[in-house]
Amino acid sequence: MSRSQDTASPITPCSPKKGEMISSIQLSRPFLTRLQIEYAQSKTIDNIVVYKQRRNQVFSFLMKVCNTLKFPMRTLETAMIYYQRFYLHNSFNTSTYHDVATVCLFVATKNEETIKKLRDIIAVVSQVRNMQLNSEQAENYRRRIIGLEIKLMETIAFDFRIGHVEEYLVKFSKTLSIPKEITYTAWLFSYDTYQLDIALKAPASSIAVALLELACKLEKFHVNINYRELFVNMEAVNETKVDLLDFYISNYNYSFFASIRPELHDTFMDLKIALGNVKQLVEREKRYIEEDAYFDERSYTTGERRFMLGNQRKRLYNEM
Amino acid sequence: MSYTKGESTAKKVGEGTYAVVFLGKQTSTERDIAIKEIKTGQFKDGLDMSALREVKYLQELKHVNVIELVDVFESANNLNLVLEFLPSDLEVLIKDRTLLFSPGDVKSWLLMTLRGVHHCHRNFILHRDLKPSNLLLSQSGELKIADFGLARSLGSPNEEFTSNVVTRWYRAPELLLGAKHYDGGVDIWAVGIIFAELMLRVPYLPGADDIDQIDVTFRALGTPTDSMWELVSTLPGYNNLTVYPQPTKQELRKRFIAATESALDLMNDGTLRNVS
Repeated sequence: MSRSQDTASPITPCSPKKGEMISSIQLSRPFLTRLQIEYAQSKTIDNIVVYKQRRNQVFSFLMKVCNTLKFPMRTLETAMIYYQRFYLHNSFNTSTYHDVATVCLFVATKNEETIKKLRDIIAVVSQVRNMQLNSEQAENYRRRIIGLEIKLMETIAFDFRIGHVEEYLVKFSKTLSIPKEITYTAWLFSYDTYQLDIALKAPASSIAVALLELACKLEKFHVNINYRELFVNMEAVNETKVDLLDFYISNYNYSFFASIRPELHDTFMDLKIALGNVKQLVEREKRYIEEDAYFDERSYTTGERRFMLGNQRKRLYNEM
Repeated sequence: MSYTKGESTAKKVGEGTYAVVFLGKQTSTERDIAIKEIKTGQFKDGLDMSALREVKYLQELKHVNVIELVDVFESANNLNLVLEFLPSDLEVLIKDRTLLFSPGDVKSWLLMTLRGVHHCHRNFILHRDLKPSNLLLSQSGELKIADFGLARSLGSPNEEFTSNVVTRWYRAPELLLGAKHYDGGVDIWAVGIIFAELMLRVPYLPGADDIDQIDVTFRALGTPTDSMWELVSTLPGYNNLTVYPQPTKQELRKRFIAATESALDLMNDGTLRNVS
């Protein structure tokens, strides 16, 4: 899949014929580039520092809820991805982001087949947030979440495909005979990638390869990975490495990895230097991103909204 | 792309638990389609899981023996799934006593079902609700698997699955015994039972309830024991079972009078269990 196709205009208002409703088409684009993400956020988020700070809080809130409800990691990870995708297209508001996080978790439980009654989720959410809800307030809260649910599903364009890094970590490690301890290090990295927006940019398989390579470098274990054999994209692998190393260099104390291996504080600079200048995801010129209708404000009420996966592009162009 | 659906042209063809189904036409191609209209925001737990599963799995499956999800759109608080419309299904045919099935008919339906199931399985998707009424037939006789409301992906080996899937009469023994881990075998079992039903023209193992289903199943096909199916007795539901002997070839021949030997072998293969 070439990058230029990626930035083709996805929302195409069809000229309404007589008696027809205005309709728009929403194409799902599971992966964006750094500049595209920044552009989308510039439209929805007033203060990116506040957003990032609250994002960390929200993720630890979600983790507590998931622990209490005994959800597996993959449910939490999916919720974290949904949360970030939501704010690419909906304006960020400090008074409602916990509700958004709750609905992300709720949809994640459905997508990951770990279904819980919304009522039970709300009970734990209010407990974690120290809110005392009487039955009427809980009912109102439930209604609000249901209202947000469809908005979230429209935002992700009914695209329920989500890959998980840890699944690939295990499979790739077995294929490449990487020792268990190194895979464990890579697995510890993986949670940090979800705390960042790497999963919005690179597919899980590419992230997994990047983490395994970093872990092998860190533990001085030699490994030779043929990207083509594992169907991973070199640019996406590099993007992951650069992002994660930059995060560790500047904010090591905030990482999950640091809570397990605090003594490795200074090693990441060396890894970054060893990595050198590598080819990351190709960025298009800013004006193309700005022209891209994908980042236009979305409507959830007018006319008909039709949803398509990215692989249906060909059909879409044929129709036009 | 637009669809004709209005008071005058659309016909309500059915009302499921969570959706109303309309019949319509694709304006550009005149193709018959079914529109599943799902009200959103009305249910206690939001969008129904079966709707979500249908979207999730059908969006990615494209095969001549799997129903096509033509479009997904949202309008006026309704989620609409546009599916290809198929006028008949195997249940209708089985019940229609005026029809005579030739071995060729049964063979081709079975082959088309297995091709569709194989396509699901090679994409790591279990259907989990195969039964005659979910095997739809087109005007030209193509069979397509429909209703992915219970489908799920195979997932990782440590995930626990619910055993409360598949319509009772088509439920495989590991499900009856409450297994938390299973695989494509549950779909293949259902195909085997559907095969039997196509030959008998009545449901092969019609249990009255979940307990009775165990009895009916094992009386017909024998109770599995550890010697033929390793560790089967460790399944949660394996207690106080009447041990029925395996049916002999002769008994099966008597039950399926018109079946050829190879047909019996094939059915036997589908219902053979040995997970290990």
